[in-house]
Amino acid sequence: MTTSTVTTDPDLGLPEPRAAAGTGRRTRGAIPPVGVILASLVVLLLVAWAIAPGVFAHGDPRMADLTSVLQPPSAHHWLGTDRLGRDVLTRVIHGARYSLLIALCAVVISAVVGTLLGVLAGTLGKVVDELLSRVFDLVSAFPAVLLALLVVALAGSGTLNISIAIGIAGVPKFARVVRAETRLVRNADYVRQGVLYGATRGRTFVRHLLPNVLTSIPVLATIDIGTTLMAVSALSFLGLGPQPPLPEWGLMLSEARDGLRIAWWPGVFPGLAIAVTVIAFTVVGRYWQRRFEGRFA
Amino acid sequence: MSTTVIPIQPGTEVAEPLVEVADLSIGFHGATAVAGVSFEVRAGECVALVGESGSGKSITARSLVGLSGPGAEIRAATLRVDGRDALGFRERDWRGVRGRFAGLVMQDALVSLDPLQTVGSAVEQVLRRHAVVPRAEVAQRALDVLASVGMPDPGLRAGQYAHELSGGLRQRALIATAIAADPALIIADEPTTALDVTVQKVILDLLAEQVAAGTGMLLISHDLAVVSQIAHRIVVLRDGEVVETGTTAEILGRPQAAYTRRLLAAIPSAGSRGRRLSEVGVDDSTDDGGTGPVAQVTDRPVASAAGVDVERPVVEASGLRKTYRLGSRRSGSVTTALDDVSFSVGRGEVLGIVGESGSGKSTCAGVLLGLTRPEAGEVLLDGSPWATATERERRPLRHELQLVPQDPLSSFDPRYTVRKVIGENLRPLRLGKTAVADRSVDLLRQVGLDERFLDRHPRTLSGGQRQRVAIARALAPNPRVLVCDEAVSALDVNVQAQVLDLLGDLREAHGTALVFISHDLGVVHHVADRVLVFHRGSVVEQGDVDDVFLNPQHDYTRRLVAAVPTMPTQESTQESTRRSHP
Amino acid sequence: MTIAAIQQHGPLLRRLATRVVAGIAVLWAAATAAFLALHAMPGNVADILAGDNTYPGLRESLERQWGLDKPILVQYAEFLGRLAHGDLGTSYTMRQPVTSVIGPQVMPTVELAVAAGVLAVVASVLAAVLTAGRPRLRAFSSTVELVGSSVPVFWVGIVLLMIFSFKLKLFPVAGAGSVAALVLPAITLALPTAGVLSQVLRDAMERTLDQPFVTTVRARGVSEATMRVRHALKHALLPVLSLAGWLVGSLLGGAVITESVFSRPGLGSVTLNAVTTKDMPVVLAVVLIAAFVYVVVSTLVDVLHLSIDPRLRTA
Repeated sequence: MTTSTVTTDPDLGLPEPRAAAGTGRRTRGAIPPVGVILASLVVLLLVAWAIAPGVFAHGDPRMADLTSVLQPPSAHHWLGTDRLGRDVLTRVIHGARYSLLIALCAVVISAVVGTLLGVLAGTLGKVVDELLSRVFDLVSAFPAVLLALLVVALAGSGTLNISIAIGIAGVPKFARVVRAETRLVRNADYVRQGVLYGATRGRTFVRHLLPNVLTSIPVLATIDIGTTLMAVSALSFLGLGPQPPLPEWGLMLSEARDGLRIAWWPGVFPGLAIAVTVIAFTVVGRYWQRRFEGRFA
Repeated sequence: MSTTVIPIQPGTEVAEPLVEVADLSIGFHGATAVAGVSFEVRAGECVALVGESGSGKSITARSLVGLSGPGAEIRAATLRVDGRDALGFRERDWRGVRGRFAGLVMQDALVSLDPLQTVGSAVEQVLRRHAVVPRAEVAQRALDVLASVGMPDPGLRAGQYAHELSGGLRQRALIATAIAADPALIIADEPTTALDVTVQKVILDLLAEQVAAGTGMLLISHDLAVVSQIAHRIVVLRDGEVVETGTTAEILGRPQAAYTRRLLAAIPSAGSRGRRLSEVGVDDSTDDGGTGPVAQVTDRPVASAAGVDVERPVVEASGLRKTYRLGSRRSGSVTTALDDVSFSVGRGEVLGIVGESGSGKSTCAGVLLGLTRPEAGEVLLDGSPWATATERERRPLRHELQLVPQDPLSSFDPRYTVRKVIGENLRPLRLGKTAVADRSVDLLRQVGLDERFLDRHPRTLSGGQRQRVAIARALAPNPRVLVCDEAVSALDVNVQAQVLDLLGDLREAHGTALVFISHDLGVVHHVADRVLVFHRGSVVEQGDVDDVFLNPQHDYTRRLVAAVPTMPTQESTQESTRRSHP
Repeated sequence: MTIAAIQQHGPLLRRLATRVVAGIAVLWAAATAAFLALHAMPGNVADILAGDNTYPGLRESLERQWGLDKPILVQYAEFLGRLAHGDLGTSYTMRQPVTSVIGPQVMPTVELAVAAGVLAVVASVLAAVLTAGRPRLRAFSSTVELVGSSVPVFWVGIVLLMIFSFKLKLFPVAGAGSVAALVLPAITLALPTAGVLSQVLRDAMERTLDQPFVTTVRARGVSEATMRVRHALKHALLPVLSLAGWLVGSLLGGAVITESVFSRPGLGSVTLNAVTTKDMPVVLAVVLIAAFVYVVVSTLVDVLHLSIDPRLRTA
């Protein structure tokens, strides 16, 4: 009965019909689940490194060993040694603690302050909203690195200070999302009509508004760990964060850059660690974001 | 209006069909969306594809211009477009067909025209693409095309964007882009669905003119009444398969398939008053999936006047006024949404409110529900002030008035299961934990669902099931008045019929008064005892539903009633349905 | 101007006027914040000026010389007055006007930022137009983008230096004299920006391609290229325009790091120097310049928005 077939251009990008719509959204542009599993494993490994570096690497990451300076990668030193003879792998593993902790602190600062301000802007009415929105505008007018430089210039360099600096720079990001989300939820039918079902303002806020606004924060924060880690390591690369001999990734890169002509490994591997960490957190975060959007769309 | 159908020009029968489709199947990634569909369209003929959502009617129509979507696998015994075998078409061939041989008119021009392109340049795009006229004449021809679809002042309109035009003009502009290259075929996909009924009539007339001028038309619609206005032949689709094909008179007058009969019987209208719209016992309604209507008696008339007590109104509204300011405080204009509106709702009465978009009927619902404070006037609930009361005073009485919204899904907290949705609205009754569970199950049963639905998330339910949950929630605190704001407008006709029947049953069982707001005169005529006609914020006419609709006094009501497409054979159809199911 | 033209541009002009006023307010706020920062700094300004030198009367003479003995409000007024004339103050460490410290450094940074910006925009527009809605290409390009926006700028710089300068000796290691010296820094700086930009652009294009009007436009018989460039890209530019402020900011911020890696002169290295030596007038001048650039860019973006999207004009 069927004489021939024809397949329309698969790249037309038209909305898919109902039958296929469910799967269409999810697969489209998604990092394949294999990638997500891999990324999750990387995240777990990094967390393990940060909690118990001693399990994965023996030896002191700070102890110089001038008998084995700038050894290329070998069976004994998988990632080689730096110019003070320290094992690069050991330093990378121990560095996870510093790099992740600084980034995490910054993200927590951004998320907590940003959420608070965002909810305030979204609920307290027009004047507060206008005012806070302008402040968000002003702060986000400055590049994060420049803002952090300003904070460092005012408060001095140091590990805690760059956490705070990057944390402040990230506040508007969260505040804006939360503000938009708050306004969206506030105007959603189930909140606006909640009053019909006998809910008081307070109850609506606590039972419906807040939970629906806050659910997106952990996901957002996970994605943000990646970008924040980059900003943090940039500052420590510039020498404004932790000081030698701490094994922080950005700092390690900075220390290695003078010897790059002779030895590439002390400069390449910490950077690779940063890149892999950022990718892993971004992939995991985005995956949950999509799952999450799929659930509530 | 029913005289619009134009007889097919003699002689066109012998001409080769514009499109010829035999045994067409369309699949997506292995899933079949359309199977074994056959039809032809000839010049000067209007063929309608009719079906509910998911019937595959749009995909079928779009396959004629190679736009059935990414990954669509099209198989057919015959697929001839413009006298050529379209099965071998490549993208380049399709592009030659689109716009030139076949023009596409879609629903809602606001989203179907590029919002960043003026309507004039959209028409010019077609003219230029297909080199219809020499370049120098393109601009002038575009104005001519706009004028030909009845666009007033085309010179001005050509420079405007879709959002600057009214709904009717916008749709005309869309039609202008479709017919600019003078195509032999127009594919009209729900061309009037988003429009007000008076505008719908104008657009249908315009499409009928095109058919009369010899253009072939493939009309896609869910609405048999609309289709009956201009179609010569009708193809009824269901789940991607043809249920029945025939001339309009055959399909409407002597439907052969049970599905078609049920579809026809489900259409609410004056003739269906006091009757059930859905059939009990026919349990192939995959559309819904409720466990069946509550009442198991088929022929019992619904909505008898028993228990209605107009003398003792439960709600009395008087002199309601509400204005909205558009734009900024200084330069914005003021719209009057409600202007001196007064009415009352008797105990157990069904009050219908009809009007076109922007007529103020939704504002009226908001005031009634105590969500919007009127600038003047008062609503009395059981004789005591309601609209002007403080929220503190209102809260203990809130449960008396409940809402069934148009889009139930957005009215459920996305994190909530059906159990929590209903449970939250049982709070005013202050029941114990087990009592809440028992009552929730009881409510679900009343709306034709059961306890299996308790722990489902509303988003996993079908449209009809969601609306049933919304009704169960509204009934939970034993309200005296249910406000239904376009409550069945988004539902397919069969599901709409079931929900309308359910509302009728519940009203009879509980004596709950209904305020039924709808743009659909047929629906209101079916359910309401009395009706208010809204126009620009005022009630232009009110009274018994038969009096108002059958013998309208106000000019606007007359126009409104005249614009409603009615099926010539609807009465007889329903008689035959009744006879076939004693 | 005809009446119609005025009517058409009326909202545009009004909007522009409000933007300019708002921009001035932002600048004033930034300047005030800068002034406060200058005076709220831990450690007395005079102490910083004095450095390690201590002899009687030094502080007093410094305070007099720098106007620090005047009431704070007078200092504030003078500060604003100087700013209005384009005087950004005097560097603590170099004892010369900030404008002459910064002035020569502006061009190298502008060169770098513009080159990188153009590179990023061109790359991301190409990537988005070619890959939007095309599953396979899209998967490839989104992986590239993810990697591009996830690798630290300084590391990319180092790796590029190692490969192209040390190993292949194609480009100079440092400096800003030639076009060749601009290539590696520009690529380094463009990479993360392009990654983010093309993601946003493609998402926006795909959302556009999902809209009903796309079917109508295709049904007119237009080519895929016309569809993507004339219709979808135009829509996709709207959300991307809103990112212009961010784009300029990230280029400026990235320039600090890029200049440090490639030992280029420029605003970035001046800033870094000033931060480490606590030369606040210079730091704040850079901050004010950034604020000024942001205000100008966002005003331009607003006007562009209005001219692209007619829906905003009538609103």
